[in-house]
Amino acid sequence: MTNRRQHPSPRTDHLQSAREVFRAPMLLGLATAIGLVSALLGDGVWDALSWLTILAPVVAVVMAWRRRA
Amino acid sequence: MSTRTWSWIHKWSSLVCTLFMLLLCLTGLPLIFHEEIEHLTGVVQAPPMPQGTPDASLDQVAQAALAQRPGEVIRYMFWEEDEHPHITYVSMARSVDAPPDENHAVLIDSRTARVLDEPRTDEGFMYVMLKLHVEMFAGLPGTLFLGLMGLLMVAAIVSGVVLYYPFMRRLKFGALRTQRSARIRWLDWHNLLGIVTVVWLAVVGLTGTINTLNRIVLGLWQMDQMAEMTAPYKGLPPVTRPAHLEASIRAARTAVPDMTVRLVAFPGTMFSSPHHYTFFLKGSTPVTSRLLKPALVDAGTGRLTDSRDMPWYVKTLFLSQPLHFGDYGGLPLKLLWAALDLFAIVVLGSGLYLWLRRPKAAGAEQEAAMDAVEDADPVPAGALRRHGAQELRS
Repeated sequence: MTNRRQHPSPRTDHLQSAREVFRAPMLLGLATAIGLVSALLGDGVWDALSWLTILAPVVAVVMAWRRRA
Repeated sequence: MSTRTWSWIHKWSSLVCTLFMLLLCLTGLPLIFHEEIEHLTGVVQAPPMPQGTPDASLDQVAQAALAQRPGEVIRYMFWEEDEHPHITYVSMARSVDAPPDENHAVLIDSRTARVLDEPRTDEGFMYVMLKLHVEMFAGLPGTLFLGLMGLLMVAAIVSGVVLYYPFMRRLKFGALRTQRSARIRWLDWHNLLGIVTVVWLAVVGLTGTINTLNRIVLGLWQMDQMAEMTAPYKGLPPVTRPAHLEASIRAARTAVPDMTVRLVAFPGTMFSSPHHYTFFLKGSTPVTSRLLKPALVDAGTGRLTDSRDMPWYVKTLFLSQPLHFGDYGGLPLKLLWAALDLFAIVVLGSGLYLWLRRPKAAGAEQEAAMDAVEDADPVPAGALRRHGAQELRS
């Protein structure tokens, strides 16, 4: 844990509730679900919406990697 | 249910299906891009002709195919106008009731009725990938087995989500502790990639399982709706010399004017009756292009017998196809499909690693959970003990 100064700690300062633990996963799951359905509904804008929403979990992983401790 | 029970479910459902899921993820990766790969590897294309060149009569197309492979019969014709415009795919076999896998393909220019190619359909890299993915070269039993593995994976996903909670109570979302032991590092990757792919992997897994039932579902449809529509023909001798193909396709188009013909099943084949051409028509939106609608045309007279929407169970099968293939939102969606597939591979691999490197003597994933949390911080371990101490230690 020598790089604490550059990166915030991965730990929380309190014991999280289920609501807190699942907040980000729920949002990402919702985004994915919207994306999976939207591309079925139409082309053009609907496809673009699906790309953006399904990109969310990928972006979350990239952000987590950049913040790695 | 106790955390211990969920751990048990997670461990065993995963262990049983992991190697098969790895196979599916790896073989599925090239299959996502089958269309692009086919184009790159030079699949035949119809030569350019002036816009609006009319199509030849379908009877001429059929004649060309029959002349190309004398002694064989046509079982199906289909069209993929978006991917391969102006090409009629003719699927032939030695006889109408030859094994379903038998497929001697003849590609014909729809406008000139000239044979373009006669590609081998049972060799090459993509063929091997597809066979491994769909049935592991084990036929229908292989397919159904993989469907069962898909269900186990869904059980692993559900139990994994439940277990995510005790593991993460003291960790921020996305925590990656890269300075720690290999076990902790891979645990963090497993948790992060697992939780962000939950919805996608559950959908792809479930729709994959539904796809494994396709022969059963279509068999049901034949005994149900198809039998109803062809009831008046019951007991009649089968049509031996079907004719009127062009007239028949026109009858189908007239019956369902707002859709285009995607496939025609010839009399006596798996998707038709002994007395009918069955035309399957598709709409023009992403959903309606998957929800094929059958139109049965009397192969003797070329007149429409009936056309009905598919029952719910066939519609479910049809809609589960794009959701499994990821081929309904252009190349960007396919790339995302591939990225999430790679994530899934890491989840499977890290899960296997965590099991192989489980703490000795502990014997339970529970111990691993304790170990991980304790390693992170002594406090949550205490909390975990307070919450589930008895069942953990039992």
